[in-house]
Amino acid sequence: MLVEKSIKDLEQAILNYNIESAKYSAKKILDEGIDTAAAIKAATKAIREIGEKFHKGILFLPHLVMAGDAMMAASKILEEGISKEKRERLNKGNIVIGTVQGDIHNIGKNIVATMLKSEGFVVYDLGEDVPIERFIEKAKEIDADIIAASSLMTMTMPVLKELIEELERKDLGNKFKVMIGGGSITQEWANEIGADGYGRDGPEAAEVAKRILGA
Amino acid sequence: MVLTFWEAIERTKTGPHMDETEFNLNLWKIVDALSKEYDFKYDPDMIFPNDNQLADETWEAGLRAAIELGIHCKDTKRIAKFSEEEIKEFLKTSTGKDTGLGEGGDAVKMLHRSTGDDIEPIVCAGIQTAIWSDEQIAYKIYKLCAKEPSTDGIWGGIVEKLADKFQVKINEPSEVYQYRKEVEILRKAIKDAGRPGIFISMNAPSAVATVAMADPQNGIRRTDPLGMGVYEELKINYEYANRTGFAIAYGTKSRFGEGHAYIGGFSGGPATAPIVIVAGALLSLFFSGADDEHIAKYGISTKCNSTHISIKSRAHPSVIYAVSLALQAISRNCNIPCSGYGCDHPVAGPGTEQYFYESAAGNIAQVASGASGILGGTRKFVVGETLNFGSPLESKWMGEVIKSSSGLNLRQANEIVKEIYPKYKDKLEKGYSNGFTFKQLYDIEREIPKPEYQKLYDKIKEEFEELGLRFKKF
Ligand code: B12
Repeated sequence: MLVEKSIKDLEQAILNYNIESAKYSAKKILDEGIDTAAAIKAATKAIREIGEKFHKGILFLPHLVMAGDAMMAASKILEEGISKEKRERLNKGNIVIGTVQGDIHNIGKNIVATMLKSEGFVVYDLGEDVPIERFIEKAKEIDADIIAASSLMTMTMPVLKELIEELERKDLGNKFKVMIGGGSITQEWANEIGADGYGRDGPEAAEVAKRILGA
Repeated sequence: MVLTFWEAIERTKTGPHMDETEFNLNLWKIVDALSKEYDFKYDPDMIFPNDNQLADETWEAGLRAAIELGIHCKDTKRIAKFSEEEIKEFLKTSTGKDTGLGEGGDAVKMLHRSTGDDIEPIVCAGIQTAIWSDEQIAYKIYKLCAKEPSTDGIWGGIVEKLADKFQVKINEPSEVYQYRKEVEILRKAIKDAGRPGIFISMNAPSAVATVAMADPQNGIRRTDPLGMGVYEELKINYEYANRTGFAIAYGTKSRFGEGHAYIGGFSGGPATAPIVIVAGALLSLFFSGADDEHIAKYGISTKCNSTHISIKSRAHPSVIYAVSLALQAISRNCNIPCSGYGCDHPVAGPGTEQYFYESAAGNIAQVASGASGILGGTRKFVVGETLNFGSPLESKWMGEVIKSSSGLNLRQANEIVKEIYPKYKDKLEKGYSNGFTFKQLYDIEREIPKPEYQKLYDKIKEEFEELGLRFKKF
């Protein structure tokens, strides 16, 4: 009974976008020695519910961001209670994300980053107008699994191709998978430039990321 | 005395520090609280409101939000705040017009309009920021759009490849070179269309390429809009403000602000978004580059803009509701001319019946709501992979509908839109056509629409006539 209550409280805290009470519930779950993996699963379920409502237009971007923040705050605490190997198992992968240089459209990228986080990826958001070098440096620094790049304009699409070419040149083509998306991008273009994945929206981005990492 | 651009920029450097995400969330919290206080609710069946009290309360809430929130600067991560008195100074100083658009016999004045006003709004048509396959096509489309007498200004786009070979890329010499070339093509096209003085609207991705287009002879003149201080949900960045810095030095005559909200974004839904649009339309005046002397000479104007966050359309009913309400709020409560910059880019592509319906619905709503100009041109959202998308006939439709719906009051306009809305209601999220290219829609040699397309145009026009829209002769 007790188990259920703390986990339910955590779920509720996320559904209420309440960071403080999400943290409180997470601590309680740890103190009570409850299975943290089960708690993370429940939290993920809550965030998915928010995600679905967002996509239906019932909830808005601030709700997605606030629920994501509550989830992240709780996860940080819960992870302390998980063994290193288990933690690694729960982390679906490290992702560096950004909008390419010259392009300042960031809304779509922000949505994708939030969805990826809530699906259990560790996401490093470099923002917009990000030079190729910064993507690569950060990916090396955090030992990323995926570089996710967004481009909204025809005039910035070539940058994605250059990113892939630069990785090849640096012999990093196999080390980092490249996932792309954004208004001007299509699956065909992704195939043409040799990207590992393409996603049309947030949920698809999460699916593609899982697929290319075999998670 | 109104606060100058330079003083406003100074505040972006000295104002309180705040992270962008925190500002965004705070924006939502404040507008959500305001909408609860005023009990703002969205009724999707209403299409656009016809309620003076609601419009006035939206104005009040927008003003309060403006004072409370200020403008966030992405570069300095600081908030430039402005007092009620400072905002109201602009309202007092405004002369009710913006006289800076176009030259000679082609010049137009953008005047404050009341809801249902007889005054015709200014129309900036042309396919906004289109991507062309080559310069000949660009020239032809520009020329044919400019030939439409119901339009007052034309938007420019960009060719995909420089010299048919090198991809035009942002922040590289190709961007600066090609935008500069493009504006020359546009200038030549409007001259050849016999309307050399109509205003042209072009805005390159980078400030340097935008500034490089300025040229009193062959490029962007002082009588063309240039400069943009504020963008999306009460935020500014210097790359945009730099254009205004230049516009002041260059002597650009039309100085304007712009309020924007994302439906589904931090501005929330259609019940809260109008508050953000009004707040933005007011706060952006500080970054328009207009001072007392300039306003006395040429006036000042602002815009209402909104985009749906997930539906690739600015003509979605939720956008029409939000922009129309914001326009009504501004039109009723101050004399600053305010143009509509939403409601125009349908989800269905050019060349389709649904495109005409959606575009007309949005434009009729804006005109009746008091828009002084409708400036977004024609366009189908994204589909970056399709070049030469759309044709000049959509510009004709835009111009004819807008000019002909002046004089309709909110109730009459609503009745027309309510009749056409069911025709495409179920095709807003799926089932719509992506539309067609110039080549598919036009006989390019003869420079006329293909017979099927012309027939579709005439049929739709007749439908609107039957609904009570009296088309003017041009
Ligand atoms: C809002 C907007 C702006 C805002 C951006 C504000 C911001 N902070 O992002 C402002 C006003 C600043 C702006 C500026 C410009 N814009 Co703009 N803008 C748009 C608009 C209307 C909406 C973009 C948007 O946010 N959509 C909503 C989000 C949720 O959708 P999304 O980005 O597609 O993202 C989704 C998916 O694509 C996917 N996704 C996105 N990224 C990624 C990444 C990965 C890895 C994956 C898997 C998936 C994925 O998931 C997302 C969630 O569902 C589009 C039109 C459109 N509908 O796309 C034009 C558009 C992108 N802009 C355009 C242009 C031309 C410009 C300007 C050059 C105009 C100008 N001169 O001012 C400048 C460029 C500035 C610059 N250097 O970048 C053109 C590009 C044309 C082209 N094909 O090249 C467009 C297509 C409009 C048009 N048809 O003319 N713009």
